[in-house]
Amino acid sequence: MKQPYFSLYEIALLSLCAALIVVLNTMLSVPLKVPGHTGIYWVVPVIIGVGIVKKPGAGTFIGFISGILASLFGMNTLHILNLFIYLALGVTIDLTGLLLFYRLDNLAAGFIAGAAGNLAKMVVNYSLQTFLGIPAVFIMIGIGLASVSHFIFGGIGGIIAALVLNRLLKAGVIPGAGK
Amino acid sequence: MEFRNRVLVAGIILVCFLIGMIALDFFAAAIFPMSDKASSQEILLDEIFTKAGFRYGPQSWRPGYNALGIFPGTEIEDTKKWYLMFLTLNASPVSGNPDVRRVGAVKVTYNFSELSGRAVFDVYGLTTGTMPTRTNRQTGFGTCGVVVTGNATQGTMMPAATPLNLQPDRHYTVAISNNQLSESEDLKVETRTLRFNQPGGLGALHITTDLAKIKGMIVETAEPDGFFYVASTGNDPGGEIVLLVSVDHPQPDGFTLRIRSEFVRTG
Repeated sequence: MKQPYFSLYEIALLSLCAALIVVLNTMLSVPLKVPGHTGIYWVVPVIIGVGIVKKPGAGTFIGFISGILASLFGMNTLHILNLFIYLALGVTIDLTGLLLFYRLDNLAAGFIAGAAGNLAKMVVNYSLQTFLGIPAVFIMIGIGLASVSHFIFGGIGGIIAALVLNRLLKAGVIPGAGK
Repeated sequence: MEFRNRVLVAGIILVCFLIGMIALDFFAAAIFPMSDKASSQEILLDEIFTKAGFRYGPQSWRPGYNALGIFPGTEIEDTKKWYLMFLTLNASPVSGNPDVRRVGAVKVTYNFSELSGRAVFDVYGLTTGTMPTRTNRQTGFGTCGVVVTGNATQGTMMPAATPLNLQPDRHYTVAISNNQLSESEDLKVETRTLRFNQPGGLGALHITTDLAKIKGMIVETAEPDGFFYVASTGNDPGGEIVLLVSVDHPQPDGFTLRIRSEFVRTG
């Protein structure tokens, strides 16, 4: 009998990570007024999920589920278009994990995954805003600073996720490389 | 070593992307020069809104104790559908004894670009406690509002808009369109709640173009640039003014509305 791609354990874990993104987004409200500062906690569940499951599609699954949940809970006025933002985050971290052999417990790799995910979220978000009617010039002016802050906060979130993965590995809770 | 190489390559790609974004930022300012914002300290709001700011509609009514019509002087017309945008003016008019209070009105300067159809301005004053939210009178004696007509070609859609639902408890939590781009960064939206817990609240806030006629009037114009005052009389007009801009057509992609607000002393 053909085995499913994700085991029941992996599906449950990835779904919990997806739900955690929505919970964090609802619970935490940091009044920093710096673009992309929420990336510091957004990327953590995705990187942890991808770092534990270590399969292509894990991040995409997390992004898809969290996007559906965010749309259902009406987290902002983008409604169903939220899905694309969360998907972009998940797919990018998926690809980064694949590129870096799922060594997301490494601080540098974690930083890169977090930064890449947060930047992809920014690009998709701005593209959607353009679709909704904000002229592209309004977005382009200030995109430099927004990109840098998305990079930094996403990277910090990635480092946090890498530290958590490291501890889980050392404690033997999750299997290491070459499982 | 291959892992390290990949980390290096990924890092270089990210840094190149960042440099590209910074370059785009730098050249965008040169290619698309924007007019400077007014530097006066009295300007409390100076923001440009686009069609993405219209988050509600199409619908024929605006919030009130009983749902109100939108075009000044008319009741709800089910055949007319409007798109609504709520924004805060960062100011509130003050009425009363000029010897003890800094009385004044809020001057709102608007500049439309590529307006299609009619745009109507209404105001709400957010109160505290049990007082109902104030709004400008819609019909009858004391009706006021500003209508601007544009002749741009109608747009095809307003993708950000969804209709407001009539609320049995008469409390309407609406998204505010100020700072829309920055709030979209974190996918959170600023809101205000309009509470109509009892009838009334129609006699305190007025829209006028002449401060000598403080109770206001209905003004219809085809000039895309103009101004009006939000003035108050009588009871507490509310600590925060929310301006409602309604348009009766989907707007073209080039639509913009610049709103500037300043407090003008009248006493």
